[in-house]
Amino acid sequence: MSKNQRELDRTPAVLNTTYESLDLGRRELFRAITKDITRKGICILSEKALSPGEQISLKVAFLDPTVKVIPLIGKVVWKNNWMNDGMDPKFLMGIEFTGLKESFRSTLDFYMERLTQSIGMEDIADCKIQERLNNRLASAGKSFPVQMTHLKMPPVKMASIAQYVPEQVITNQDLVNRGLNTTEKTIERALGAVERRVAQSYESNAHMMAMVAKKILKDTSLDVSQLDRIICSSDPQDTVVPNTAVVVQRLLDARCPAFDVQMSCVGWLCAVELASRCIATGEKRILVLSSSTIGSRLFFYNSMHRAIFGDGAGGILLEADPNASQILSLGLWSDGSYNDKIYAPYSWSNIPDSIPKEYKNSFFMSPAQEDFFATMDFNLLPFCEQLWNDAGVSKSDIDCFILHQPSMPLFEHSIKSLDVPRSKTLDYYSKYGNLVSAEIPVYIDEAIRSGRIKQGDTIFALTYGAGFTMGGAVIRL
Amino acid sequence: MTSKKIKEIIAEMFKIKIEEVVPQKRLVEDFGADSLRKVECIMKIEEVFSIEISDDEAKRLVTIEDIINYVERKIGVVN
Repeated sequence: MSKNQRELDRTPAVLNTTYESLDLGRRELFRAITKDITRKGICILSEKALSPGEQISLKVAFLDPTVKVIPLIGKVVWKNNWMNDGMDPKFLMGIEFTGLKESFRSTLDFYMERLTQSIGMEDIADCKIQERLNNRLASAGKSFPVQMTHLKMPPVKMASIAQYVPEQVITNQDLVNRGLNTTEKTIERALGAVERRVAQSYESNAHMMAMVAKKILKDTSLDVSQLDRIICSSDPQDTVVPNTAVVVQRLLDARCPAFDVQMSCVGWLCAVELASRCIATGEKRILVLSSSTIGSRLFFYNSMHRAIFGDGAGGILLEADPNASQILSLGLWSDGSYNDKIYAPYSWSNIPDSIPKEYKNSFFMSPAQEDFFATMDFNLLPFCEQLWNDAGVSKSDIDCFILHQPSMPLFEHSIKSLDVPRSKTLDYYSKYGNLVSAEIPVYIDEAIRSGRIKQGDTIFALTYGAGFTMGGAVIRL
Repeated sequence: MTSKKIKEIIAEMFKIKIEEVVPQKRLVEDFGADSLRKVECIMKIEEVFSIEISDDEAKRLVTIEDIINYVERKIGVVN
């Protein structure tokens, strides 16, 4: 076979890969990204250099949510330094497959064919696609390992948790009756949503969060004067000024400082992270509240996007307790290079050229779902593994996974990416829709009330959203 | 026949000429289908050919050729 033919047989593909050296004394899991792949071997980019001849166990994840990772045994054939533009050194390594279970052979064949078709042999010969793939690879190389916050969690407990959802329900049929140009069943099949709650005009984010706070204060028999701080996350803010949290403060007749944080769907976890830091430095009791009225307050040029969101609020009282360690780990992540993929402007916002003109003043979500799935594939598993490691738990120790439900296709993708049993996940999407940052406290409250989770259970909460942003926490009830 | 009918469905759904619906074109990238339009397209094909396409199978239907091949296999058309 000529050298050119061998080059053509390689299919450039940026895929997520983990590998482990099988040689004695190096049993450590490394992450890598593939550069190209053939039926006989793979070229990977990693921060760890292995020596030629070393045996490794590989797991290759394709970007298709319907396919499980493919486990392979391989041998390092060659190793080169990767371009180093100020980043940590990375290494390109050629791996020859020496073991592939027969059951995975057909899967590998199918995806090799799919990759080849989707790129095309002519494209491979075209230097432009090589350049684009190299750029993607370099960009991916910059973002791994996942750069995330690490907080040594102080001893805190969730003294109380509560939710408030508006009474009014809006069904898929209601949306069709109001002009959404499709059928009820199509919405359900595309999104998984059946109904969602819609806030009335008086049910502002501040109102709903104050209702949550009142339930918490009643539950804990706490006087409002015992609060040290109120931190709120609401999407969108009820007003430009004042911040929403001060309206909550007024509705509670509280005197402690109150302010907002924003991190789209990750807002509540961001607030919990900040509250934990405040407790670590001496504060005792902090209300951490979250609310979303995106569904009822924003303008949706694409009315299908309206069908995604439900309104609601939730929150906790986070309390210092030297005998408790309920939040075992918590991490935040963001990648602003995707800031225009999910977008909702103010009337004066400078709208990027990448937003289609018809979406001016509207909520926008990029139809190129590949961005969402690819970003998840690059970051989701390493992010979660880090949080489990920080908490000192393994995936199998977790009793309940609260995985974000922005839509059912993305939820399904995260279940497969993380390879978690469906029976251990919570699914309230058909009932509430996407609750944005209020989702996690609402889901925990809902699951406790229904008996789905109980004291002593280990919960893993994961959410992600516009930005892109991502947050997760391991919680022991 | 199957191929022609599928092309007609897609041309009507995306308001394009049937000549533009060629095998290599992709629903999302080339015709701008969002998740709703893709599901509508799948449901229309299910209705016309009296077949069921699971969500997992639907995810693998990227190009017009994918759809034609899939439907022909499902309804037993032998080339």
